[in-house]
Amino acid sequence: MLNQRYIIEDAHAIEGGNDLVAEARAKYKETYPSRVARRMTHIGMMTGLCLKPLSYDQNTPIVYASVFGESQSLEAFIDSFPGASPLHFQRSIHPSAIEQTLIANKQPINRFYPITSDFNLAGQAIESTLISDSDRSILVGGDERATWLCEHELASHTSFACSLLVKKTGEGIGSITIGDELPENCESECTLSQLARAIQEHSALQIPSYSFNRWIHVSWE
Amino acid sequence: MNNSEPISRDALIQELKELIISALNIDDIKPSDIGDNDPLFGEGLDLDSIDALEIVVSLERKYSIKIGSSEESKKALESVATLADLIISEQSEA
Amino acid sequence: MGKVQTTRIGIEAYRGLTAFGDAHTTCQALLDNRIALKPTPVLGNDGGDLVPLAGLNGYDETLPPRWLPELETLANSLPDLPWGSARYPVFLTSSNYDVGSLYTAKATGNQDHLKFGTPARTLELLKKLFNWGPNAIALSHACVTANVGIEMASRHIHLGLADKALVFSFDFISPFVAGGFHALKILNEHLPAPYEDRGIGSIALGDGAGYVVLSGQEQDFNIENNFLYNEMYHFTSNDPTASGFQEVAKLIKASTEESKIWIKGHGTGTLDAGRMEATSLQESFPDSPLVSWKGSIGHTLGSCGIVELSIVIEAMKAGRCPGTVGTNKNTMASNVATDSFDISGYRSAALLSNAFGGAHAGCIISHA
Repeated sequence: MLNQRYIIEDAHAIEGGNDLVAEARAKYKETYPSRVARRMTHIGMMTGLCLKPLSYDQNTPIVYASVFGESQSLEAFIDSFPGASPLHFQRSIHPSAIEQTLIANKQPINRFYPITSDFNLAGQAIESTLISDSDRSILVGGDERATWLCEHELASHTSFACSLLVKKTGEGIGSITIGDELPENCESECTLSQLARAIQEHSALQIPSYSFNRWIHVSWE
Repeated sequence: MNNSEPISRDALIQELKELIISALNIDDIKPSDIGDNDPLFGEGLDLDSIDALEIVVSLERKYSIKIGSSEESKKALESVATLADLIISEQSEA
Repeated sequence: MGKVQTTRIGIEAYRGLTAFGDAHTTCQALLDNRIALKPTPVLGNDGGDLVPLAGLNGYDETLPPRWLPELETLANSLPDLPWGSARYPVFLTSSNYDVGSLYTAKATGNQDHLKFGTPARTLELLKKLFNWGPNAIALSHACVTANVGIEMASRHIHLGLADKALVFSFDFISPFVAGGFHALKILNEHLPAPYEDRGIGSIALGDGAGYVVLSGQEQDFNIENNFLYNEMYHFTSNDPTASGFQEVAKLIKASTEESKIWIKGHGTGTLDAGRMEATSLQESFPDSPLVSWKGSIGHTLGSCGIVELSIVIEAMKAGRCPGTVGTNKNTMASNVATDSFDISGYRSAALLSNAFGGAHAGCIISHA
């Protein structure tokens, strides 16, 4: 598999400041019952909006990547003690963000891989997406800005989300190629936000994969 | 908590409707849209089990009542009227 | 279906840790029908309702965290291999990654707790302490996390990307975690009795940690197959038609040719999920005994897939499987085993875990 070229069929990325919340919630209300829209978190809406345009079904493996996950819900849950909030607890648990959309769609998924590292998360997320034995697989990820957790570098300072639909054959808007071996003692990394920016700008990206021990090249048509 | 001030059942029902709307962040329903005996789940308010739990926690905070298990929660939350009766009964026992 | 058709994956090494101690000690305690759970104030030193918890060495957050020396002991027993290098990936698995540290920092104002409490900080700390290289990934999928790690590790071996893979797991309980489950009204004073037919249910929580080292070479104990399925019906409820549990039964059947297996279920003590699991498995496997040990050691959350796997192997070695400790004869299905039973005639067992979001995961473990 290490010489394979993969096709990017579809890809989306959004930067989500707080202004996105009202706009995205309005979009969700058009599609989902009001209960779903009112309970959607910021990161849930952003990742959901990136997942929505992709074509997938139960057999499409989904890799979900986030460094911090549901930071705003985590803050809200901690702040709710001693009368702990069940809703914030439930939403604070990784990987609730993307599950909000999958549950709203009542879309069972066989293989679902939530990863939550920091160092080289983009590389880990892409290699996890490529090792699926399905013809098509999805990577979706993101992080959200919080408040007091940010002061301690325990949450992202920016909000963003991105997605990639990767397949083995056919036409697409870009490709992922596995390249040369990594140099010895390589310490390079590619963050999830760098990947999101490359998707948004359709800019080429070279990402280390420590699992493949190779460089991964993302390029666009 | 305002245990010291007795509250009528009707006023309690009104208070509960407001609490439900605010605890669940419902922005498209007014208290007057909720019938006293309307089922809180399924049709109507379209609440689910996690909404129920959020209401229970809000009730426990505000009225110092105790609902221990998810099974008891389901029973208490049939309608706003059953909720009011539960609170009145718990407070009279306290 | 979510079945992974892997080559047989050998379990080269394993460890498990519960409130009773290591996997061997835990298996023996379960065979002796002992219960580690104790009624404990849900907020620890801050009080609250009594709930069933099984802490290994206390419950409240400490500095350094309670789990750290335990993980150091576990890591010292690992085979001496270049973990985290290209052919030796590490899969760190936990549901909560001691997120309770953040709660404690906020509650006490002691910011030293903020050195812990996120997956990324924990992974980087363990990489440094245990000399793991950059090929180390952190996974978090609530209570099926360890199983997802085992599945991913098996996939790496199957594809020839790894010679050996380490799946390392831990979840220690804290007021944060217990407070959350208590808020969900599924952790209360009613001692859990998995699969017992009763009016009110409760889960229980316990500390857990462990690891497995997997390879492509056949060992005394092997993973025949892994499987995953996610209902995506509701966060905290399963599809009431039991479709998820029926899917799991199909996955078990598709994963092994063995006609005679015993089943270590998830069995947390929640009534609806327990009933659906027990009855679905009884329908598909009427002759397979079904057990759960969470009524004794508690639910060790994201680590339960590895903690309970280590107990399964110990039971297989002993030729005797502990019963569903704490459950009386009024069970939800007739194949729930309340007492220990002879498994010397069995070659395989199915291990199942469930999680929020209607997540199901499992694997088949067999003797060579």
